Amino acid sequence: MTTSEEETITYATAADLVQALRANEPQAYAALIEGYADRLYATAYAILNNPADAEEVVQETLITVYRHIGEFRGEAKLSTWLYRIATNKALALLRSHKAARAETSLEELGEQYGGELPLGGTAPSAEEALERAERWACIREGLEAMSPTLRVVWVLAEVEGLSMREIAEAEGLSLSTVKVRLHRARRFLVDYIARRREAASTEEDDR
Amino acid sequence: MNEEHLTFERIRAYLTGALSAGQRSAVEKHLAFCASCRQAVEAQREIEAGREAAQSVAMSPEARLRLYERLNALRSEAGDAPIPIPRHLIAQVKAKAEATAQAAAHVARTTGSAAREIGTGGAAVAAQAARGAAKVGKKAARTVKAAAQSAIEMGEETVKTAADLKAIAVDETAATLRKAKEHPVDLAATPIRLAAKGVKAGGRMAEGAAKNAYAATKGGIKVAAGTASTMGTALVEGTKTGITAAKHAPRLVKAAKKMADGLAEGVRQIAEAKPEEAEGEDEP
Ligand SMILES: [Zn+2]
Repeated sequence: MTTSEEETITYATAADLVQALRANEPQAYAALIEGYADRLYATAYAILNNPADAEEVVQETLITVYRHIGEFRGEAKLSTWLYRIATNKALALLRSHKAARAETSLEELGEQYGGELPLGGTAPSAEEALERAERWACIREGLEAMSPTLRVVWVLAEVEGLSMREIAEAEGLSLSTVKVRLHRARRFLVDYIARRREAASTEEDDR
Repeated sequence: MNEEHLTFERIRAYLTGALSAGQRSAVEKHLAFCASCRQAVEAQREIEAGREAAQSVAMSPEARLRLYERLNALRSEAGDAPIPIPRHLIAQVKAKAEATAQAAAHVARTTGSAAREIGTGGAAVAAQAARGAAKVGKKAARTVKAAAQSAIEMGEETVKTAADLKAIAVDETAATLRKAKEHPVDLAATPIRLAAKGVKAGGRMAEGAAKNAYAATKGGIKVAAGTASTMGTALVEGTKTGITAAKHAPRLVKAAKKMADGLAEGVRQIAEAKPEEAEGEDEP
């Protein structure tokens, strides 16, 4: 157990952290936030494409940990459990937004696609920031067109780098289901973007 | 030739350099004549870049602080000790809040002085129009009304333009600072956007000045239509007013640009106030 200069205690293993969380040690929650909040936020953001929703998911996930840490079974990885809670919350939020989103005007959609990607860490240069936001805009259109169940699997694999086994555990799916979904998600995204590129180049030729 | 399209696994392997030299050249041969697979390769490249962008997403310090506060509110209700909030996080949020306040003050100052300048420019135009009207009036009382009317029109137009611009500046400032505080990307990209807005605002100002000049000339013509004897004076005065308006146009454009620069500078201040936050442990 070490104390960083910023006073947040870091735990040697996830099991130590879980034990401290079970004991309801306040420092353990600080370590949990500092160690996992950004990952959960990135996951939720990639699924929901909205900073406020992503923030809500992270808050709700940690509240769930606070209330239900007693029910966490030690055999699962802590990170897997956190991803499970977060993706469930994200999917629920997505469903609750669906009705409202159906009424979103074209203009608002345009705004969403033209929106920004919140990046932490060092503030990038303006050019870098624009470039990153553009890159993100390219794939998020494809992600939004994808069904949420495929999207979640894609995000956990490609953004969070989880193995298929970990995804299966987090989502309560069989390994073969994860394999199929990941394959479909990847192909969907490539097809979607390639089709869009083709359409764009045809448009240019027509001019 | 028995050529099948490249599978996307093959494309991924190609892009990550996981293919043997032979496989690689086979892929390249196919790409040389297959536009659809070339598109797929480019799409895969885009996905890779987007994936990296998605991975670098992180909570803003404010969002992180809200997370601590929300959990601590629940803990306090339950009688649990609060989670210690890391000092660096508080320092970060404070630094950003202070920079935001400073930036807001800076923007208010530049916006205020620019708005004043716009007001002064508008007033000068209106004064010139009034002088012209008075001069014309000496020659023929009948024409005074028309000239005065055009002066009033001009004055109104100028005031409207200035008010519009100030409203744009104030709204933009509020919206920009609000957004900039929450979204670091937006923060960094904002100066570029604001520069564009400054140009747009400048365009609106110039448009306002042109309208003034038009109103002035129209006033002059109206006056001229009154009597032949006053025509010369009226035209001269109308033209003078037009020139005054035109003379002020660059100043107004400059004032608009100053406002945009003030905003951009404020935003830059906030961006620079954000301390680095380079740690990112996945699994403790
Ligand atoms: Zn092909």
